[in-house]
Amino acid sequence: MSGIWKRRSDDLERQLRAARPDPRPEFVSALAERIGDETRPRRGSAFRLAFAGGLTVVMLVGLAAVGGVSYAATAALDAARTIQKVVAPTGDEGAIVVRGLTAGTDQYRPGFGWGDPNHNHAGPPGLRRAKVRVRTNPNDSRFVRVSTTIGVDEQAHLTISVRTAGGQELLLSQRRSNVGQGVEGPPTKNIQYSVLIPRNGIPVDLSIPRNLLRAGVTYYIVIRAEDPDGNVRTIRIPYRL
Amino acid sequence: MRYDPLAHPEELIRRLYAYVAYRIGAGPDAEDVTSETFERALRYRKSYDRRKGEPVSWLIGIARNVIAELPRHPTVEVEERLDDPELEERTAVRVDLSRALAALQPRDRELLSLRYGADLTARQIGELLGLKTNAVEVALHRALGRLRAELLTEAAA
Repeated sequence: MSGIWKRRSDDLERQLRAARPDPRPEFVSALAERIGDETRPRRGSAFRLAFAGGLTVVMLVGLAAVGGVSYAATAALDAARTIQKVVAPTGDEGAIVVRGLTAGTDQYRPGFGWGDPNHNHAGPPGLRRAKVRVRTNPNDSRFVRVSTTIGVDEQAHLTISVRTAGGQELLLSQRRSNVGQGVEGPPTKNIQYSVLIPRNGIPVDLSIPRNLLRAGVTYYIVIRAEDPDGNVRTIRIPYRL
Repeated sequence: MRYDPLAHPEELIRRLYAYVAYRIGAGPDAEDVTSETFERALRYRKSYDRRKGEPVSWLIGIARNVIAELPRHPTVEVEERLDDPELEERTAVRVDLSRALAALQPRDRELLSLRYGADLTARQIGELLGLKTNAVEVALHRALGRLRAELLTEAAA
């Protein structure tokens, strides 16, 4: 204990203000960016809708000129939906969005088609998560395994990544990782997984090369869930080695 | 148009972090609590009511719940950057303050964190804790006295 307080005991309020702990600048900027992502108006979706709508009108006019308006209306609507899907979004992370049934998708079950109204609700998906466990495989010390389970209350496409406090995404081994009923593929910075059957207890096991992680530093599992209507919820789960 | 309480987040992050750091110690745990608080704030920001207080008071209300849910209060940590020109003295002051704060009763620590960490006024603290402004001022004065006594006791030892 220094003797400074004896000398300056009348200065306590000033010292308390001056010694106010400051957060790291990279932490402030990363968190501010994350908040900005959620609060900024989504101009992208407005553009996509406008684009799809505009194309629909052009097709309607063109087809109406040669007759068969009702046929044209159906066809144009289908085309607009398809275009909206193709142009659709890749999300903040610039990840490829997988919308079909792939290795990174729940097994199909009758009645659980993507967008089925019985398994979706208005607004963004609800996400719940359990505590994170960090393990090292004794047989393979090159990787650290970070595990948790999540619950999703409607169908959603998940983009899962591990980031530093500064927002940098770390490489993940898909072969050694597991989400839901399994993923596979080359190493990636974000794993894609579609949940067709909303439920709790979906396992998320991520394998990260050990040389990318430092003891005592906080990292974040970032899970972005987008429902069939394009509503997005993102959660960040902190953990430390 | 609806008022967005998180429209200017940088200053809110700094004030919230300072409050949390005075409560549980600076470092990764304080960052985790700060992040989790903003995650919850994002989730429930539509429920923010401007008439009930400023955004920073609302965030501190959330942060108090997050801290209460911590499995245990972590040890006080003092974080410093190596390129600080007044490293030695400032570190000594921070270490002294952190130790003395950690030795106080939770209520004193809460009051001092709100006043000198989050930089809330006595009136804002009163609104948050359901106390009259006068009562907050008196309690703050006493908490400062106990902190000063703690610092002097340790200095003497």
